[in-house]
Amino acid sequence: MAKLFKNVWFKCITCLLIILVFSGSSIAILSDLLYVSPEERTQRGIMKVYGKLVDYETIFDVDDANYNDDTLSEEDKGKIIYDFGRINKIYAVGENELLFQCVGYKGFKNGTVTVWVRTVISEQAPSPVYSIVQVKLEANVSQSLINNLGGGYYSNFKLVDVTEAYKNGEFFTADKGQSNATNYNPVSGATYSANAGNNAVNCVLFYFGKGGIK
Amino acid sequence: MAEFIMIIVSAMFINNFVVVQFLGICPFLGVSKDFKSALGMGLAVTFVMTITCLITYPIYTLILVPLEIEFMEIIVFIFVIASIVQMIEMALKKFSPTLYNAMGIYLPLITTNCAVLGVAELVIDTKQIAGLIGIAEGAMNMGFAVLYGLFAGLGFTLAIVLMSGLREKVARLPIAKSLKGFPIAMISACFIAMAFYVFALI
Amino acid sequence: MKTSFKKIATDGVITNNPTLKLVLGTCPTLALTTLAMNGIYMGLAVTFVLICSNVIISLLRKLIPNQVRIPAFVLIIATFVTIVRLVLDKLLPDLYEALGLYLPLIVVNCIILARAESFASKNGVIYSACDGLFMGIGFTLALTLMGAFRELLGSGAIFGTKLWDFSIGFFASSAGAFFTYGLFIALFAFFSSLISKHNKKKANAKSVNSCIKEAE
Repeated sequence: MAKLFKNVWFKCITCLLIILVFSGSSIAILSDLLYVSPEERTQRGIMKVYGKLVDYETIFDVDDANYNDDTLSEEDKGKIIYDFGRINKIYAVGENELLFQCVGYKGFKNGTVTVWVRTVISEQAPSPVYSIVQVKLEANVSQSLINNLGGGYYSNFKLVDVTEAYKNGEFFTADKGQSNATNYNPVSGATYSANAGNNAVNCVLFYFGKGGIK
Repeated sequence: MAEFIMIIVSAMFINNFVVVQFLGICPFLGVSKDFKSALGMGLAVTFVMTITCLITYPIYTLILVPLEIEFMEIIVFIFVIASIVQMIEMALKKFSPTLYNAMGIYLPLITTNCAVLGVAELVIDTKQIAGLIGIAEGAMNMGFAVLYGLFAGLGFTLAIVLMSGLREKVARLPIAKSLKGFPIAMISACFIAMAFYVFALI
Repeated sequence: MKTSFKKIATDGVITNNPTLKLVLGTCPTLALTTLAMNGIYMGLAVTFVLICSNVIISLLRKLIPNQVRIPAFVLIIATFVTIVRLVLDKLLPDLYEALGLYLPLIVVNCIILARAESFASKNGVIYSACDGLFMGIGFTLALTLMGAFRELLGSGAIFGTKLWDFSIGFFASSAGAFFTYGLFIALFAFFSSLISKHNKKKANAKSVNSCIKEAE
């Protein structure tokens, strides 16, 4: 027995195990204290847009209903998934606001840009008219020049009647040569990232154009 | 099939681990003085990266997530990588002494190579990886993870081999004293990064 | 060799600057210096881990058997990195996102393991903490300077405030990262060689003067 305690390998293994147990338990306690719930993560995103906590109701959340799930009808899938982007989250804030989280594809290095789009009903009758009032960057994948998109880029997205714009084919684009490019919104030095951002906001235009999820 | 090609192009070229994501810079600068050792290092890293993805991805999705101990991921991953490297070293020593002589000196360096831990962390970060290889977030699976590891490793090999070629040439040029060593290596790397830049616009 | 606080401080920040002299921890240096602010954040995260791991390793240096030295160090460092990650995720989510993949990679940052191996495992607790602090400051300073340089040229801003519309995309790209780093190491080497030459000249002049005096 005494021989075992003097054995080098025994010492090594006990030492490592003790450190492992200590670090594991201390991290476990800390992670319990510092747990971030999914609701809190959602609220963080909403905080970015509103600057304060607001009550919201979830209409669609990709984390609950996966795109591949059967819970989503084919018709609804067509309203949130496009070949240039997709809608991740839709929240109803208050009586007359809708908040979207959209991902735009085809950015720099084929990466993506994720933005929050806040829409407000500006006219109730005869049918509700939604206008885009605020666009805020949430995240990006491999857009190294995204910082070149200044505040002016995001404020260019203001649009009074979203459904009308869809009907007229007025989509946001960074390509001047494209027809119907009424909402021309490029940023020199970050054209590809700007393109992905435009694509993300276009998802919202398509969503309202197709009638939206009921 | 389209996804397969996308993984190859994305991992090897568009998001090359070394010159675009800056992972594994230490061996990229340290072991790229001649072609032979650069190739050896590259292949050793590729091998370890593939095996790492093969082991850490199931550990994370099948053990850590169901047990809700995701916070242990760093400790578990670094432990797995260190053990893999150790085991490969022992296996090589026993079964293939020639290969051991060729690769052996690089193996201990691989444990502290960011590229290996980086790929293990990247393939479990569903949002990031789905964006990088252009698939839906829920569609990530084991096969994609291993493929990504393999081709990211090959991308590393490509970059380090190119770098060794450039440095062999640059070594013969007369260079100012304060530029010798790391600075000129960095500037050579700058040109390789520029060459990889064209892939970003595909 | 006697260890003194002054020597540790000048070593960490200037003579053995981990980023510019020793060229350690290159991955976060290249990846996160697109913005000066990111440089500061990364520097602070590394400094925190460096101080904590140095203190713990120096406390345990006599208890850890020599054979499992490295695995034990890595385990301790990984613990602190996980703690930093948890704290940032809870309290500073924006920062957590900005550092992204490079936050867990602090584990394999060569600076921390190198300091643990070459300093903390041989010196007392207070000296080790001090070494961690100054090495961290050296790292943070270098990252912030490079970040400010790249942000100024790459996006015409500094610490997030836009100065002018002129910008050179090259400096914000990955090629610009390598170029800036190379330039900074070269400048650092150039100035340190100038200073050492100057010091040598001074010493020479002194000895010549004293020789002349003696001759007289």
